[in-house]
Amino acid sequence: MFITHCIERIFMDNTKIGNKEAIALLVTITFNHIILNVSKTILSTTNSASLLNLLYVGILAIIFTCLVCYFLSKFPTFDIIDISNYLGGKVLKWIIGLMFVGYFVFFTGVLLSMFSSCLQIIYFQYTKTIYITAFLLISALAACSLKYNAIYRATFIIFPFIIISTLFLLFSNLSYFSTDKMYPIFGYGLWSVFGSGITNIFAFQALAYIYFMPPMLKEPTQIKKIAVTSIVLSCIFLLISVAIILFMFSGFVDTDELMPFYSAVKYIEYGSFFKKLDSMFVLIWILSFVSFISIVLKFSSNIFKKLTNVTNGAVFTLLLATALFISAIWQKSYTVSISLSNWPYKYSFLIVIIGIPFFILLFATIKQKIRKWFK
Amino acid sequence: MSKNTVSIIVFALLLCLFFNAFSSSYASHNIMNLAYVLAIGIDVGEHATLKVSIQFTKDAVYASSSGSSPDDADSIVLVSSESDSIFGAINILNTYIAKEINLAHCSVIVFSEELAKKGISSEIYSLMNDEQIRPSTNIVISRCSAYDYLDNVKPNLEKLTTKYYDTFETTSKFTGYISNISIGDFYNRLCSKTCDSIAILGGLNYSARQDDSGDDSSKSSDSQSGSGSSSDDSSGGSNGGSSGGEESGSSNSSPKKENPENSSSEESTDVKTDPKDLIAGTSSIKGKRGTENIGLAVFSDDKLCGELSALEALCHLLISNKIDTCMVSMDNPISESKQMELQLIPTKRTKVCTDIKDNKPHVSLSLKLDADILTLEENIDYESTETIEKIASSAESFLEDELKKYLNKMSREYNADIDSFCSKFPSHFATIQELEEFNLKEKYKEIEFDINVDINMISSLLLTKT
Repeated sequence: MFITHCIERIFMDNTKIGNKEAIALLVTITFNHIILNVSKTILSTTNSASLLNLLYVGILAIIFTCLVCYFLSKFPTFDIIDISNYLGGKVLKWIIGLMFVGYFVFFTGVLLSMFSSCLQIIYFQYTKTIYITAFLLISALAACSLKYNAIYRATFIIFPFIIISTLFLLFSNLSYFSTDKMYPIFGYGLWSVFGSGITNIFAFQALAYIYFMPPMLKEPTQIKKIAVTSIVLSCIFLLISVAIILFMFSGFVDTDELMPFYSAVKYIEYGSFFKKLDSMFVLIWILSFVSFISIVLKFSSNIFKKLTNVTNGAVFTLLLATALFISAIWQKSYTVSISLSNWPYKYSFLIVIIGIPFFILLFATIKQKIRKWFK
Repeated sequence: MSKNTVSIIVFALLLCLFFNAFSSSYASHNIMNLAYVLAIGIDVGEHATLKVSIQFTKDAVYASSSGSSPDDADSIVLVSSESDSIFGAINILNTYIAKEINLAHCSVIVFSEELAKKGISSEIYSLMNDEQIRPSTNIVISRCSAYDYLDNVKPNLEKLTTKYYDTFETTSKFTGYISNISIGDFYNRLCSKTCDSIAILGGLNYSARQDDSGDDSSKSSDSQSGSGSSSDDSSGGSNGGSSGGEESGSSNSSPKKENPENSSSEESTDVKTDPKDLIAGTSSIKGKRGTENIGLAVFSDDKLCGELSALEALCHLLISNKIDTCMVSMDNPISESKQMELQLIPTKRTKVCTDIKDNKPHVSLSLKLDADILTLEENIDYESTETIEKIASSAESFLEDELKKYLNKMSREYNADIDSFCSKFPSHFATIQELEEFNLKEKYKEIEFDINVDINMISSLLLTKT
């Protein structure tokens, strides 16, 4: 009896994730965007003012996170799908659910295509991108099919490697840094930093996943602590990565490169023995990217489970993986992926992740207050 | 069928699929199929736009590097081909070598002066576009043809040529006569709007120049006698290269033993010994290795616009804090008509302050150095404060003069900002538009320098009184 109770307890606990795992999960999502497209996009829009702009959007992201957490705390253990259901019934629930799944699957497909192209150029010149994409996706699918939320724990294990590799990259390249490149301090002008530069908030992609965190947490009341810590850590990561690119490369804004982090990694050398450390970094990035895809599949599958009230999400995961694969391979060239990862991604984020969910949370809170008054 | 059987079948199918998909990429990376390049030389071609020379070393050298290896000079292979692009030429050489040429271990890229004057941006961008090229690969502008330069690279103190290429970095730190310029650095400067590019200046030493002129004269006498035969079978007519074709193999143990001063050759008139005038291809160095790197090649955008002598290169390195120690030779303030050598050690990073006065850029440089006296004269008390101060003051004014000459040459004559002064001015502007309106590149010609050198004369090493 006691043993059965213990096993049940363990299994029950394993379906939920702890605070540290949640933070690792959210920061990993941001990190994967950093290595692929975010730092390039920020630099191209704000140039020398990138760091100032990041500080600004970082503060805005923290304020927004606090607001979201405030609204979510009004509905403990509810995620955005449940709140949509509460606000507008099944119709709104389906609209919001499909909107999020579409956003996750389409843009993750774009990133998957970019990452596969990068791997092909760097290591697998004679292998078709479609095989690399399939390999990454099948790995993620396999991780996703494991029980007890193994992907969250795997992400937690990979997370320290991500931190160490980024710090290693920073300190190894310090000799190439020229801090003068952060001037003129306002880059293209005040508007580009504080006006149009606000769109760079899309760098904080972890925000999109915060809406779904409360039911997954062991302690849903800790959502604010988890979310704010994740956003602060993401901001630090973003500042470090943009600083590396900005301070190292003079004309990066004018001459776009495949993967800016990879370009920076190529400069690392310790004497004549420790050269070409890029393979080590690429391995960490592959593991991190597979974690990211599996997180996306898991979250999207959970949304579908909620929409259809089906308990077994394996079929959804498989269907979503197929959709993700199609989304990744339809792009004919790398340039298509790059253009999609710029302004379409930015503006979709502003509408789908910032705008609509915010109003849903706001109106749901108002509805709740009105009901309380009438009671 | 059970669930497990289905899983096993799916797994086996996937395994087969990925084995098939990734095997071609792995097969291409097999070391047996690759030919690793030590250095690339790029010249203006005779039959096409470019002549690309590639230096390899035979596999046997690495295989028997335990001590009984043959002299690396005999194991160097130099091949060249002409095409309208670098990769076109490499592809032609691929067919000749029957192995895939891999640039991952390329240590040096040599451009001929002639090509550099025409502009090398396309070549630099193309090379940086190649995943195999490391950003730390050195870039040399050769005053002779790139083919000749590579043909004359023979390890001297080192067993392997690669070891010689690795010395570029350390040499720059303690001589100051060259700077360790990599293709990554060159590319960054090329892309930048606020500074100009530089490269290591290379050339042939006295022995190789003598060999070269000897070959030329023998060739001309051969042609005059109508024999028309030549040992040089290189496709590009490499400015009288000592050998061509596949094997470089030319011996540099020149039978000529002339004193530079007494040489009857035309080349001997080019011999320079003063660091103020000394550049690669003009030294009096005699040795087995026929190449030397002295001075710097200065670029304006992607075109070679000038050359810096050994002393000017030293000035550049002092300003850009890329030197550990160096030696300067100046007029002896105590014994007239004699020279005095000082060893300089920068104690602080050079302080560069920028300002804009009357709409003109103004740069203040402050250098702090320790100095040791190397050359001693008879009957002088080097312990005396008066003597030390006299030498220090003389050294300060010497360095200030040289720095001023160097900076004026860079700004007024070459209009090239290799010291990245322009990159320090953006802090005076709030936005990029304001900076562009100021037109810093144009105003660089009018830039004013204020130089302050502070030398702390330490001692005369072991002897303090003579």
